[in-house]
Amino acid sequence: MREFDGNLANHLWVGDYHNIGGSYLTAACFARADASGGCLVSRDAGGGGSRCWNLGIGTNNANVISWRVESSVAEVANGATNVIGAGMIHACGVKDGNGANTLRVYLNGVLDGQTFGTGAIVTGGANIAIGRRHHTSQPFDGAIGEVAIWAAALTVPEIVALAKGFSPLMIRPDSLLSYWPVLGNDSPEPDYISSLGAGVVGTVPKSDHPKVYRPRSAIYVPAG
Amino acid sequence: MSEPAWVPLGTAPMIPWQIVFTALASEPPGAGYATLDTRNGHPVLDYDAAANEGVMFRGVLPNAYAGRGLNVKLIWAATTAVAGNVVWAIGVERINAGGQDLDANSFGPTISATATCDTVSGETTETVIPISAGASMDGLLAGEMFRLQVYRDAVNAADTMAGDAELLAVVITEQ
Repeated sequence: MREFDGNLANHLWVGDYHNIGGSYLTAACFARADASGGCLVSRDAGGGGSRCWNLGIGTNNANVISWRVESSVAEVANGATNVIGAGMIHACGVKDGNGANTLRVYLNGVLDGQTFGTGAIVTGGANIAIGRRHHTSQPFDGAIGEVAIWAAALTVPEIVALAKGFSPLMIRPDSLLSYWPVLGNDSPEPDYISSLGAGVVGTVPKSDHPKVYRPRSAIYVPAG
Repeated sequence: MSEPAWVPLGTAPMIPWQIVFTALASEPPGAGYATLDTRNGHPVLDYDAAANEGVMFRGVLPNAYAGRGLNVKLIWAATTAVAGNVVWAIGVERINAGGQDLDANSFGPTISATATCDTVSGETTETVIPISAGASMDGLLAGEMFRLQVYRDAVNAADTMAGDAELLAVVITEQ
Protein backbone atom coordinates (compact mmCIF):
# COMPACT_ATOMS: atom_id res chain seq x y z
CA MET A 1 0.00 0.00 0.00
CA ARG A 2 0.97 3.63 -0.10
CA GLU A 3 0.39 6.33 2.45
CA PHE A 4 -1.47 9.45 1.31
CA ASP A 5 -1.25 12.57 3.42
CA GLY A 6 -4.35 14.47 2.40
CA ASN A 7 -2.40 16.79 0.16
CA LEU A 8 -3.58 17.22 -3.42
CA ALA A 9 -0.02 17.21 -4.66
CA ASN A 10 0.58 13.66 -3.50
CA HIS A 11 -1.28 10.90 -5.34
CA LEU A 12 -1.03 8.22 -8.03
CA TRP A 13 -1.89 9.03 -11.61
CA VAL A 14 -2.82 6.84 -14.57
CA GLY A 15 -2.71 8.74 -17.82
CA ASP A 16 -4.47 7.92 -21.08
CA TYR A 17 -6.78 5.36 -19.54
CA HIS A 18 -9.33 3.77 -21.84
CA ASN A 19 -12.97 4.73 -21.60
CA ILE A 20 -15.31 2.72 -19.40
CA GLY A 21 -18.91 3.16 -20.44
CA GLY A 22 -21.84 0.84 -20.05
CA SER A 23 -23.90 0.13 -17.00
CA TYR A 24 -21.78 -2.45 -15.24
CA LEU A 25 -18.74 -1.54 -13.22
CA THR A 26 -17.00 -2.50 -10.01
CA ALA A 27 -14.18 -0.67 -8.27
CA ALA A 28 -12.54 -2.01 -5.13
CA CYS A 29 -9.53 -1.55 -2.90
CA PHE A 30 -8.18 -1.94 0.59
CA ALA A 31 -7.83 1.29 2.54
CA ARG A 32 -7.20 2.81 5.90
CA ALA A 33 -9.00 6.12 6.28
CA ASP A 34 -7.51 8.63 8.69
CA ALA A 35 -9.81 11.52 7.77
CA SER A 36 -13.01 12.16 5.86
CA GLY A 37 -13.40 13.58 2.41
CA GLY A 38 -10.99 11.82 0.09
CA CYS A 39 -11.22 9.81 -3.10
CA LEU A 40 -9.75 6.34 -3.17
CA VAL A 41 -9.92 5.92 -6.93
CA SER A 42 -11.63 8.09 -9.51
CA ARG A 43 -12.07 8.70 -13.15
CA ASP A 44 -13.15 12.23 -13.61
CA ALA A 45 -12.85 14.84 -16.31
CA GLY A 46 -14.04 17.92 -14.54
CA GLY A 47 -17.39 19.35 -13.61
CA GLY A 48 -20.91 17.98 -13.73
CA GLY A 49 -21.62 15.72 -16.67
CA SER A 50 -18.13 14.32 -16.93
CA ARG A 51 -17.27 13.02 -13.52
CA CYS A 52 -17.61 9.41 -14.65
CA TRP A 53 -17.20 7.63 -11.32
CA ASN A 54 -15.36 7.72 -8.07
CA LEU A 55 -15.04 5.62 -4.95
CA GLY A 56 -14.20 7.57 -1.85
CA ILE A 57 -14.52 8.06 1.87
CA GLY A 58 -16.86 10.81 2.93
CA THR A 59 -16.76 12.51 -0.44
CA ASN A 60 -20.53 12.87 -0.51
CA ASN A 61 -21.49 11.91 3.01
CA ALA A 62 -19.23 12.22 6.00
CA ASN A 63 -17.07 9.35 7.17
CA VAL A 64 -18.67 6.57 5.10
CA ILE A 65 -17.83 4.93 1.80
CA SER A 66 -19.25 6.87 -1.15
CA TRP A 67 -19.68 5.48 -4.64
CA ARG A 68 -20.59 8.15 -7.14
CA VAL A 69 -21.43 7.26 -10.72
CA GLU A 70 -22.47 9.81 -13.28
CA SER A 71 -24.77 8.93 -16.16
CA SER A 72 -27.46 11.36 -17.27
CA VAL A 73 -27.47 12.44 -13.65
CA ALA A 74 -24.99 12.00 -10.84
CA GLU A 75 -25.96 9.26 -8.44
CA VAL A 76 -24.33 8.40 -5.17
CA ALA A 77 -24.58 5.34 -3.00
CA ASN A 78 -23.41 6.10 0.52
CA GLY A 79 -22.49 3.55 3.11
CA ALA A 80 -23.87 3.62 6.62
CA THR A 81 -20.78 2.78 8.64
CA ASN A 82 -18.19 5.23 9.90
CA VAL A 83 -14.86 3.99 8.61
CA ILE A 84 -12.62 6.77 9.88
CA GLY A 85 -10.10 5.32 12.26
CA ALA A 86 -11.53 1.85 11.73
CA GLY A 87 -8.20 0.39 10.60
CA MET A 88 -7.84 -1.58 7.41
CA ILE A 89 -11.07 -1.90 5.47
CA HIS A 90 -12.10 -3.24 2.10
CA ALA A 91 -14.20 -0.79 0.07
CA CYS A 92 -16.14 -1.73 -3.04
CA GLY A 93 -18.56 0.11 -5.32
CA VAL A 94 -20.76 -1.72 -7.79
CA LYS A 95 -22.94 -0.44 -10.61
CA ASP A 96 -25.23 -3.30 -11.57
CA GLY A 97 -27.29 -2.02 -14.49
CA ASN A 98 -30.12 0.40 -13.93
CA GLY A 99 -33.02 0.52 -11.52
CA ALA A 100 -33.65 0.33 -7.82
CA ASN A 101 -30.68 -0.55 -5.65
CA THR A 102 -28.33 -1.09 -8.57
CA LEU A 103 -25.72 1.28 -7.19
CA ARG A 104 -24.19 -0.38 -4.15
CA VAL A 105 -21.33 0.05 -1.73
CA TYR A 106 -19.80 -2.76 0.29
CA LEU A 107 -17.69 -2.52 3.41
CA ASN A 108 -15.57 -5.57 4.14
CA GLY A 109 -17.74 -7.65 1.82
CA VAL A 110 -21.02 -6.60 3.41
CA LEU A 111 -23.60 -4.37 1.73
CA ASP A 112 -23.37 -0.98 3.45
CA GLY A 113 -25.59 1.18 1.25
CA GLN A 114 -27.43 1.28 -2.07
CA THR A 115 -29.48 3.52 -4.28
CA PHE A 116 -31.15 3.88 -7.66
CA GLY A 117 -28.94 3.76 -10.75
CA THR A 118 -29.81 5.35 -14.10
CA GLY A 119 -28.31 4.98 -17.53
CA ALA A 120 -24.87 4.32 -18.85
CA ILE A 121 -21.78 5.73 -17.22
CA VAL A 122 -20.58 8.86 -19.00
CA THR A 123 -17.34 8.51 -20.84
CA GLY A 124 -14.74 11.17 -21.35
CA GLY A 125 -11.74 12.12 -19.38
CA ALA A 126 -8.59 10.22 -19.95
CA ASN A 127 -7.08 9.63 -16.56
CA ILE A 128 -7.54 7.80 -13.31
CA ALA A 129 -6.38 9.15 -9.99
CA ILE A 130 -5.71 7.11 -6.87
CA GLY A 131 -5.69 9.03 -3.64
CA ARG A 132 -7.64 12.04 -4.77
CA ARG A 133 -10.39 13.02 -7.19
CA HIS A 134 -9.03 13.42 -10.65
CA HIS A 135 -10.38 16.93 -10.91
CA THR A 136 -7.99 18.49 -8.38
CA SER A 137 -10.04 17.98 -5.26
CA GLN A 138 -10.80 15.55 -2.46
CA PRO A 139 -7.31 14.37 -1.50
CA PHE A 140 -7.28 11.23 0.59
CA ASP A 141 -5.66 10.91 4.00
CA GLY A 142 -4.75 7.31 4.74
CA ALA A 143 -3.45 4.24 2.94
CA ILE A 144 -4.64 2.57 -0.28
CA GLY A 145 -3.73 -0.69 -1.98
CA GLU A 146 -5.05 -3.59 -4.07
CA VAL A 147 -6.97 -1.28 -6.38
CA ALA A 148 -8.96 -2.98 -9.12
CA ILE A 149 -11.64 -2.19 -11.68
CA TRP A 150 -13.98 -4.61 -13.47
CA ALA A 151 -16.30 -3.97 -16.40
CA ALA A 152 -18.89 -6.07 -14.62
CA ALA A 153 -21.00 -6.06 -11.49
CA LEU A 154 -19.34 -8.47 -9.10
CA THR A 155 -21.54 -10.69 -7.00
CA VAL A 156 -21.60 -10.73 -3.22
CA PRO A 157 -19.54 -13.94 -2.92
CA GLU A 158 -16.90 -12.41 -5.20
CA ILE A 159 -16.77 -9.23 -3.12
CA VAL A 160 -16.54 -11.28 0.05
CA ALA A 161 -13.57 -13.15 -1.45
CA LEU A 162 -11.88 -9.84 -2.25
CA ALA A 163 -12.46 -8.61 1.27
CA LYS A 164 -10.91 -11.81 2.61
CA GLY A 165 -7.79 -10.99 0.66
CA PHE A 166 -8.04 -13.01 -2.52
CA SER A 167 -6.22 -11.26 -5.31
CA PRO A 168 -8.39 -9.52 -7.91
CA LEU A 169 -6.55 -11.67 -10.45
CA MET A 170 -8.64 -14.57 -9.19
CA ILE A 171 -11.98 -12.78 -9.28
CA ARG A 172 -13.88 -12.59 -12.61
CA PRO A 173 -10.60 -12.33 -14.55
CA ASP A 174 -12.34 -12.02 -17.92
CA SER A 175 -13.86 -8.70 -16.84
CA LEU A 176 -10.92 -7.33 -14.88
CA LEU A 177 -9.80 -4.10 -16.55
CA SER A 178 -7.01 -3.04 -14.23
CA TYR A 179 -5.33 -4.23 -11.08
CA TRP A 180 -2.79 -2.10 -9.26
CA PRO A 181 -1.49 -3.98 -6.20
CA VAL A 182 0.26 -0.75 -5.08
CA LEU A 183 3.06 -2.51 -3.28
CA GLY A 184 4.90 0.76 -2.85
CA ASN A 185 8.08 -0.30 -4.60
CA ASP A 186 7.84 1.19 -8.07
CA SER A 187 6.73 4.22 -9.97
CA PRO A 188 4.67 3.73 -11.92
CA GLU A 189 2.91 1.15 -9.79
CA PRO A 190 2.32 -1.66 -12.28
CA ASP A 191 -1.11 -2.56 -13.60
CA TYR A 192 -1.10 -6.34 -13.91
CA ILE A 193 -3.82 -6.29 -16.56
CA SER A 194 -3.58 -3.37 -18.94
CA SER A 195 -0.01 -2.24 -18.36
CA LEU A 196 -1.25 1.26 -17.57
CA GLY A 197 0.90 1.96 -14.56
CA ALA A 198 -0.03 4.41 -11.83
CA GLY A 199 2.76 6.93 -11.55
CA VAL A 200 3.66 8.45 -8.21
CA VAL A 201 3.08 12.20 -8.17
CA GLY A 202 4.69 14.01 -5.28
CA THR A 203 5.47 11.98 -2.19
CA VAL A 204 3.43 8.87 -1.45
CA PRO A 205 5.49 6.54 0.72
CA LYS A 206 5.13 2.81 1.08
CA SER A 207 3.09 1.45 3.99
CA ASP A 208 1.99 -1.92 5.37
CA HIS A 209 0.12 -4.08 2.88
CA PRO A 210 -2.91 -6.23 3.75
CA LYS A 211 -2.73 -10.02 3.63
CA VAL A 212 -3.36 -11.11 0.06
CA TYR A 213 -3.75 -14.58 -1.40
CA ARG A 214 -1.97 -14.55 -4.75
CA PRO A 215 -2.79 -17.06 -7.48
CA ARG A 216 -0.44 -20.01 -7.64
CA SER A 217 0.41 -22.30 -10.51
CA ALA A 218 0.47 -26.06 -10.27
CA ILE A 219 3.25 -27.68 -8.25
CA TYR A 220 5.13 -30.43 -10.04
CA VAL A 221 6.98 -33.12 -8.06
CA PRO A 222 9.53 -33.85 -9.34
CA ALA A 223 9.85 -31.08 -11.91
CA GLY A 224 9.35 -32.58 -15.32
CA MET B 1 29.64 -54.10 -10.49
CA SER B 2 25.91 -53.56 -10.03
CA GLU B 3 23.26 -55.33 -12.03
CA PRO B 4 21.57 -53.30 -14.77
CA ALA B 5 18.00 -52.23 -14.13
CA TRP B 6 15.79 -54.45 -16.23
CA VAL B 7 12.57 -53.13 -17.64
CA PRO B 8 10.09 -55.65 -19.07
CA LEU B 9 9.59 -55.31 -22.79
CA GLY B 10 6.64 -53.15 -23.68
CA THR B 11 6.58 -51.39 -20.32
CA ALA B 12 7.88 -47.87 -19.93
CA PRO B 13 10.00 -47.18 -16.85
CA MET B 14 7.94 -45.58 -14.09
CA ILE B 15 9.27 -42.29 -12.74
CA PRO B 16 7.06 -41.14 -9.86
CA TRP B 17 5.57 -37.72 -10.32
CA GLN B 18 2.62 -35.76 -9.10
CA ILE B 19 0.90 -32.51 -9.90
CA VAL B 20 -0.56 -30.54 -7.01
CA PHE B 21 -3.16 -27.85 -7.49
CA THR B 22 -4.24 -25.82 -4.48
CA ALA B 23 -7.33 -23.63 -4.42
CA LEU B 24 -5.07 -20.75 -5.41
CA ALA B 25 -4.38 -22.42 -8.76
CA SER B 26 -8.05 -22.57 -9.72
CA GLU B 27 -9.59 -20.78 -12.67
CA PRO B 28 -13.29 -19.92 -12.69
CA PRO B 29 -15.50 -20.90 -15.61
CA GLY B 30 -17.76 -18.25 -17.12
CA ALA B 31 -20.62 -19.12 -14.81
CA GLY B 32 -21.41 -21.46 -11.99
CA TYR B 33 -18.04 -21.29 -10.32
CA ALA B 34 -17.05 -22.41 -6.86
CA THR B 35 -16.29 -19.45 -4.64
CA LEU B 36 -12.91 -18.70 -3.13
CA ASP B 37 -13.03 -18.64 0.63
CA THR B 38 -10.80 -19.10 3.64
CA ARG B 39 -11.17 -21.36 6.64
CA ASN B 40 -8.88 -20.48 9.49
CA GLY B 41 -6.50 -19.06 6.92
CA HIS B 42 -6.67 -22.07 4.57
CA PRO B 43 -7.67 -21.04 1.05
CA VAL B 44 -10.58 -23.22 -0.09
CA LEU B 45 -13.14 -23.36 -2.84
CA ASP B 46 -16.75 -23.42 -1.66
CA TYR B 47 -19.01 -25.71 -3.67
CA ASP B 48 -22.69 -25.03 -3.19
CA ALA B 49 -25.13 -27.74 -2.13
CA ALA B 50 -28.01 -26.52 -4.29
CA ALA B 51 -26.45 -25.89 -7.71
CA ASN B 52 -23.63 -27.39 -9.71
CA GLU B 53 -20.48 -25.35 -9.32
CA GLY B 54 -16.98 -25.97 -10.58
CA VAL B 55 -13.52 -24.67 -11.34
CA MET B 56 -10.73 -25.59 -13.71
CA PHE B 57 -7.05 -26.27 -13.18
CA ARG B 58 -4.47 -25.85 -15.90
CA GLY B 59 -1.25 -27.82 -16.28
CA VAL B 60 1.06 -29.81 -18.48
CA LEU B 61 1.28 -33.60 -18.22
CA PRO B 62 4.90 -34.37 -17.26
CA ASN B 63 7.21 -35.87 -19.84
CA ALA B 64 7.68 -38.69 -17.36
CA TYR B 65 4.07 -39.78 -17.90
CA ALA B 66 4.27 -43.42 -18.96
CA GLY B 67 0.92 -43.89 -20.62
CA ARG B 68 -1.14 -45.31 -17.78
CA GLY B 69 -4.34 -43.96 -16.36
CA LEU B 70 -4.41 -41.17 -13.79
CA ASN B 71 -5.61 -40.92 -10.22
CA VAL B 72 -7.12 -37.59 -9.30
CA LYS B 73 -7.24 -37.11 -5.55
CA LEU B 74 -9.50 -34.43 -4.13
CA ILE B 75 -8.74 -33.15 -0.65
CA TRP B 76 -11.87 -31.57 0.76
CA ALA B 77 -13.92 -30.88 3.85
CA ALA B 78 -17.49 -29.98 4.71
CA THR B 79 -18.19 -26.43 5.81
CA THR B 80 -20.66 -27.54 8.48
CA ALA B 81 -21.95 -31.03 7.67
CA VAL B 82 -20.90 -34.10 9.63
CA ALA B 83 -22.81 -36.60 7.48
CA GLY B 84 -23.89 -37.02 3.90
CA ASN B 85 -22.40 -37.62 0.48
CA VAL B 86 -20.91 -35.35 -2.14
CA VAL B 87 -20.91 -36.29 -5.81
CA TRP B 88 -17.67 -35.04 -7.30
CA ALA B 89 -17.25 -34.94 -11.06
CA ILE B 90 -14.14 -34.35 -13.13
CA GLY B 91 -13.21 -34.11 -16.78
CA VAL B 92 -10.02 -33.60 -18.77
CA GLU B 93 -9.59 -31.34 -21.77
CA ARG B 94 -6.55 -32.06 -23.91
CA ILE B 95 -4.97 -28.92 -25.35
CA ASN B 96 -2.65 -30.36 -27.95
CA ALA B 97 -0.84 -28.47 -30.66
CA GLY B 98 -2.96 -28.23 -33.77
CA GLY B 99 -5.78 -30.12 -32.12
CA GLN B 100 -7.74 -28.02 -29.68
CA ASP B 101 -9.33 -24.71 -30.65
CA LEU B 102 -9.06 -22.42 -27.65
CA ASP B 103 -12.30 -20.73 -28.68
CA ALA B 104 -14.24 -23.80 -27.66
CA ASN B 105 -14.39 -26.09 -24.65
CA SER B 106 -13.91 -29.77 -25.35
CA PHE B 107 -13.72 -31.78 -22.18
CA GLY B 108 -13.64 -35.55 -22.29
CA PRO B 109 -16.23 -37.70 -20.54
CA THR B 110 -17.33 -36.77 -17.05
CA ILE B 111 -16.16 -39.18 -14.38
CA SER B 112 -17.91 -39.09 -11.03
CA ALA B 113 -17.38 -40.40 -7.55
CA THR B 114 -19.65 -40.30 -4.55
CA ALA B 115 -17.81 -39.62 -1.31
CA THR B 116 -18.91 -39.41 2.30
CA CYS B 117 -17.80 -36.42 4.31
CA ASP B 118 -15.87 -36.74 7.56
CA THR B 119 -17.78 -36.86 10.82
CA VAL B 120 -15.92 -33.70 11.87
CA SER B 121 -16.61 -30.83 9.51
CA GLY B 122 -13.13 -29.38 9.85
CA GLU B 123 -11.36 -32.63 9.03
CA THR B 124 -10.53 -33.44 5.45
CA THR B 125 -11.59 -36.32 3.28
CA GLU B 126 -9.49 -37.66 0.43
CA THR B 127 -11.41 -38.91 -2.56
CA VAL B 128 -9.53 -40.58 -5.40
CA ILE B 129 -11.15 -40.63 -8.82
CA PRO B 130 -9.38 -42.89 -11.31
CA ILE B 131 -9.30 -42.03 -15.00
CA SER B 132 -8.40 -44.63 -17.59
CA ALA B 133 -5.77 -43.82 -20.19
CA GLY B 134 -7.02 -42.86 -23.64
CA ALA B 135 -10.46 -41.46 -24.33
CA SER B 136 -11.32 -40.88 -20.69
CA MET B 137 -8.32 -38.54 -20.55
CA ASP B 138 -9.47 -36.91 -23.79
CA GLY B 139 -6.44 -38.57 -25.40
CA LEU B 140 -3.99 -36.53 -23.36
CA LEU B 141 -0.32 -37.46 -23.88
CA ALA B 142 2.95 -36.71 -22.12
CA GLY B 143 4.12 -33.14 -22.46
CA GLU B 144 0.74 -31.81 -23.53
CA MET B 145 -1.22 -29.04 -21.90
CA PHE B 146 -4.56 -29.81 -20.31
CA ARG B 147 -7.35 -28.45 -18.19
CA LEU B 148 -9.02 -30.42 -15.45
CA GLN B 149 -12.49 -29.40 -14.43
CA VAL B 150 -13.68 -30.32 -10.96
CA TYR B 151 -17.27 -29.71 -10.04
CA ARG B 152 -19.81 -30.79 -7.50
CA ASP B 153 -22.79 -32.51 -9.07
CA ALA B 154 -25.01 -31.00 -6.43
CA VAL B 155 -28.25 -31.69 -8.27
CA ASN B 156 -27.49 -35.39 -8.40
CA ALA B 157 -29.84 -37.29 -6.09
CA ALA B 158 -26.86 -39.08 -4.60
CA ASP B 159 -25.43 -35.76 -3.39
CA THR B 160 -26.97 -35.62 0.05
CA MET B 161 -24.56 -33.48 2.05
CA ALA B 162 -26.01 -30.23 3.36
CA GLY B 163 -24.01 -27.04 3.04
CA ASP B 164 -20.87 -26.28 1.13
CA ALA B 165 -18.06 -28.64 0.31
CA GLU B 166 -14.65 -27.00 0.57
CA LEU B 167 -11.99 -28.15 -1.85
CA LEU B 168 -8.45 -27.55 -0.61
CA ALA B 169 -6.31 -29.28 -3.22
CA VAL B 170 -6.19 -31.68 -6.16
CA VAL B 171 -3.33 -34.13 -6.63
CA ILE B 172 -2.78 -35.99 -9.90
CA THR B 173 -0.62 -39.08 -10.03
CA GLU B 174 -0.15 -41.89 -12.52
CA GLN B 175 -1.71 -45.26 -11.77
